[in-house]
Amino acid sequence: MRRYIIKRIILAFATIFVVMTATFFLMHAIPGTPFSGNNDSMSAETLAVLMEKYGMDKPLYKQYLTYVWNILHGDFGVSMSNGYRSVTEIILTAFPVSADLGIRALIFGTIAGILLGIEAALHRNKPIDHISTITAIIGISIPSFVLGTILQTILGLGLSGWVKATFHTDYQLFPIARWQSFRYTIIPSFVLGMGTVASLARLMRTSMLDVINQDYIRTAKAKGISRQQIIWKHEVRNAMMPVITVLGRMIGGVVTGSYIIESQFAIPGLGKYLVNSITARDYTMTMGLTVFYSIFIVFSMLLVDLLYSVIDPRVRLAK
Amino acid sequence: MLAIKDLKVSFHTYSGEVQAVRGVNLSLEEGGTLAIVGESGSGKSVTAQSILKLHDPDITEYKGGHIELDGQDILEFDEKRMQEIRGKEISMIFQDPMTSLNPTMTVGNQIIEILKRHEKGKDNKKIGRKEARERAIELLKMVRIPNADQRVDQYPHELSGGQRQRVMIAMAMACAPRILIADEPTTALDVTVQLQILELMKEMQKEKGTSIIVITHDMGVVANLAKTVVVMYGGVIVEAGTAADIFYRREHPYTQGLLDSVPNEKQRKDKKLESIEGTPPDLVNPPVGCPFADRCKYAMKICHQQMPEETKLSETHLCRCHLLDPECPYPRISLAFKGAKKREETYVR
Repeated sequence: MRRYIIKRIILAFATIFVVMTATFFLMHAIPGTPFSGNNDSMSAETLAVLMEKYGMDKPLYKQYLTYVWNILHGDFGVSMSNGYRSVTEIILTAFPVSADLGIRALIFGTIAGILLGIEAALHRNKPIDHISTITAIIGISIPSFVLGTILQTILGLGLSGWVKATFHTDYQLFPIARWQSFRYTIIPSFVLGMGTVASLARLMRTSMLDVINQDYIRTAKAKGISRQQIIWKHEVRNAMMPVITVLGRMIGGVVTGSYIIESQFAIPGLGKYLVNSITARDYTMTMGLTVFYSIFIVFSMLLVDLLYSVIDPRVRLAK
Repeated sequence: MLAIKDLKVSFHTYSGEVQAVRGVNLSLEEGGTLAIVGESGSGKSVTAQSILKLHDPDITEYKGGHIELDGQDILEFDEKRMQEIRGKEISMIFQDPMTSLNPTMTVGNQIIEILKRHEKGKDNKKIGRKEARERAIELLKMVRIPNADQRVDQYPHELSGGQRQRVMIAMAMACAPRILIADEPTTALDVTVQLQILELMKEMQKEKGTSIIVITHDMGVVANLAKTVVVMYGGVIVEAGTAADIFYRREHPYTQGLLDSVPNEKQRKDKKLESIEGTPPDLVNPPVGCPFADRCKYAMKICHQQMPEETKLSETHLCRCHLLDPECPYPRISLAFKGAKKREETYVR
C-alpha cells in the first residue's frame, strides 16, 4: 500500500512535469510575444528593454531552465497582463471563488444525480424514471450558457420584476450576476452542476439495475431484511463503485471552475484568467495556471483511486 | 408442518405468461428431508422460492393454491409478515456461493445483519454489536471454518468456494430456522467439497432438528440426503415417493432417464453415457398432454393429447404416466427396463 502510494506520487510529479514542459514550448510556439498585442506605438528600444527585463532575449532552452528552476523554488513569476501582480497572488485570490462555486455545483450535482439515478432504477419505467431520463437529456444536450441565460431571464429578471411590481421592493431572490451571498450562488451552482446531475443519474441508474439483479440481493431478501435496508446497505453501496471512478475526473473538472459560467455570471474566479492569459500570450500566467490545474487534477484522481480501494475491498492496489 | 397444495405460479414477461408451476402438491414433516429433482426450467426453484415469496412481485402471480405453514397460508401474508418469516422460520441457501454473498461486506457483518434482524441479546433486549459478533464467530466455528475469529473480518473474495458455502449455511442457520431450503447447494462446488457440504447440512439437521428442502438435479445428492423425493418436469410433479420408491421402484420414464444419465461403476467404458434427447417444453404455451411426451421414448398418442392423472402406487408413491393406465397395452417402466433390449423388438411404436 505505502509503496503503491509513493509510486503514484512520483508518477504524479512526472505527469505534472510533462504537462509543464509541453505547455511551455507550445505557448512559445504561438507567434508573437506578450508585448505584441496593442503595441504598434511601442518603439524598438522599449521592446528590447522589456524583452531583456523578462529574459526573453535569451535562447528558449535557457528560458525553460530558468522557469523550471523558479517553479522548483515555488515561484510562479509575475503575470504580464494583470497589472504585474504575481501569479501566486492571483491564484490565491481567485481560486477560492472558483472552488467555492465548483464545490457547491459538485455537492448539488452528486447528491441530485445519485438520488435521481436510484429512484429511476427503483421505479423502472414509472414516471420518476422518465423524469430522470428527460433531466439527463436536458443536462447533457443543453449547453450551460443557454441554461444559464434561461434561468437568468426567468428567475432573475422575470421574478424580480414581478416582486417589484407586487411588493414594491428591489429584493432579488436570485440575482442575475456577481458573487456575494448565498442567493447569488444558487443559479450558477445549479447550472454548473447540471452536467454532473445528468451523467451521474444515468450512470447510477444503470449501475443500480445491474446490482438489483445480483444474487446477493436475493440472499439479503431471504434473510428477512427490510426493503429500505436492502436498498441502502446492499444495493446503493455496491452501485456506487462506478460512480466513484467517474467522480474523480469530475472533481478536477468542476472545482477548477468554468470560464463560461464565471464570465456569464461575473464571478471573479480563475476561469477567465486562464482564457485571457492565452490570448494575451501571458506566458507566466498560462504556465502557472496549467501547472496549478494539473497538480490539482492529478492529486484528486489519486485520492479517488485510494478511496476506491477503501470502499471496494476487492480492489487490491498493485505493488 | 409445511404443505403446498395445488400451487400455480406464473410470471408475466414480454414474451407472454410463463406458467412456471402448474399445480404442485407436496408436504414436509418436522425434521424431514425433501428433495425436489428436475432439470433447469422444471419449476423446482420457482416452487421453492415461492415458499419465501422471493420472486419479483411486479411480474409474479400466484394463480392458485396454498402454501401452508402450520396451517396458515403464506400466500396470504403481507410483506412485513414475510420479512419476519424469512431467515427466522425459513431460510435459504443458494446455488452459487461466489455471487450469493455481498462482495463489499465482511462475512461477519453479513451474519451479524441477520442476527440483529431476528435475534435478541442475552438480556432479552436488542442484540448488541459485540454479542452479535461473538455469535457470528460461534456460527463460523459451527460450520467448521478454520481461524473463525480472523475469517469473520474477511470479505467473501478472500474465501474459497466451499468456505463461502459454509458461510451461507452459517448465515442460514443463524436463527435456527425450522426449515432450510437449499437451492442446488453443491452444483457450483468442486466435487471434493460437495460431500463435505452435504455432510455439514446433515449434521446441522441432526443438531437443530431443522427440516430441509433440497433442490437439485444431482441424483447423488438425493441419495445422500433425502428421505422423500419429488420429481418435477414442465411445472408439474411427474413422480413422488420415498427415496427407495424413486431409486428402486420408479415408474416414470423421466425419472428413469435422470437415473440413466448418472455415471456408475457398472457402466462399460466404451459405452456412451445415456442422455435425454431434446429440451424441456416452452411454458408460455405448455403442452396439453404430458409435458415429457416430446422427449419420451415410450410416448403414445394419448400422451400428447391428455395430461396423465396421478396414479397412487403405494401409500408413499405417486406417478403421473399413461403407462400406468390399466388399459395401456405396453408394460410399465419397472417391468420394461429389466429387459429393455427385448422390449424394443417386441413393441413397435
